[in-house]
Amino acid sequence: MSSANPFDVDIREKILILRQKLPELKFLDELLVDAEAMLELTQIVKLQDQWLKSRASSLYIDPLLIQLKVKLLPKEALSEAFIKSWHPVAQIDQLSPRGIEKAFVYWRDLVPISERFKDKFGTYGIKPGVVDYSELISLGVFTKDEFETNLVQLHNELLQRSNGDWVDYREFLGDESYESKVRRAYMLAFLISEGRALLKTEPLSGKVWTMAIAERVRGVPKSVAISINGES
Amino acid sequence: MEAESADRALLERKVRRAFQVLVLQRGRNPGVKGWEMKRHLGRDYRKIIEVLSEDVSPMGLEVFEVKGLDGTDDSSRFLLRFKEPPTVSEAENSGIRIDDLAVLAATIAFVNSKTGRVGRREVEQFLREKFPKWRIDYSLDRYVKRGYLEQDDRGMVHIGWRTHAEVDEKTLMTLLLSRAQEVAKK
Repeated sequence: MSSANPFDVDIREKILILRQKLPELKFLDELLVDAEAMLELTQIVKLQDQWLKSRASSLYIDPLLIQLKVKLLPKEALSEAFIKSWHPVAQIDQLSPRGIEKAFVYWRDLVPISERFKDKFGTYGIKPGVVDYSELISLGVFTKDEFETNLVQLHNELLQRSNGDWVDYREFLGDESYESKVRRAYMLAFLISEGRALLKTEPLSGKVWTMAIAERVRGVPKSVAISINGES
Repeated sequence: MEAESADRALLERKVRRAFQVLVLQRGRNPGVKGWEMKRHLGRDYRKIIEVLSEDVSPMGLEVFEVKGLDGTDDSSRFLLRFKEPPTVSEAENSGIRIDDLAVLAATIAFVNSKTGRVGRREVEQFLREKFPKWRIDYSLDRYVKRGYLEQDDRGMVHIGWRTHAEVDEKTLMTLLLSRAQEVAKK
């Protein structure tokens, strides 16, 4: 699309062609295309009308002349010409008492963002995150000595239970209490990360297996997400 | 006698109301549509606007009407604007950048010379002879946003309603041509 001269299109010639072709058109598709061509021609006639009106108005100046003149003028002269023909709008931005009241009512009635989309997307909980060892110590869940001792105890327990075989992960966590399961799972994750235990998952059955190893292994670590709930 | 003074009081009240309606910005764009004026001032709002325009004249202001697309009274937009253009130093002191105004002046002249519509790329090419690309992009987008220029979905640039409202386009074209002649003679 450009601002080309609409009089470059010979409307008469195009209409004559359409007229000649019309008796040959038999199918609806052909007639629709013919109608579309006619519509496009009317658009060009409309543009020709606008073009003539603009040329007849005093605003019309040859584009080449304008380009030349604007090229000659410094920026200051251009802006000065604009300012001298400019009548800025007089208007004020303000806060009215009514506006403040509206804003207050809006803010007062605004549902907190956590509640706003509850119906659509459900509740927002805290995003899953990572609790590291130092944080657990700072929370008083572990002391440093206790953690190391418990880690060795858990490793020994797993060594005995597995004895070179895979052990059911969830069975190993036990069912004493939810807190106890989480604590054992956390320490087991630590052992696995350190290469002192292995983990195997069966995606189809959802079963998870673990095994302790006497000597630390090195390899490329992989992340596995396992949910722990009160029932399992 | 009493009826006459009551009428005068009513007129004064309506003129005051018209001034408040015009001077306080409501929406994103300045000005008040004809149908809104009718709602605020009643059917005879045009008479009230005439009186207001005379009243604000000593302050250097006037009420200006921009005709809407369909040409009806309801679609017209009324604005309170400077009767005379500001001086160059006044405009500069108001924080307007000379470069920005120069881009707008050149664009208006170019679009008008191209029968009121021209492709954005063509405008950019035209302006590139005088301004850096970043300034052109920034200024054109800004002026489209503020209503001085319009850009349709085919990428054609038109003169915006705000230019029709605020700029005396004939004066602008004449000034550009005459200043260019002066520069050429020097």
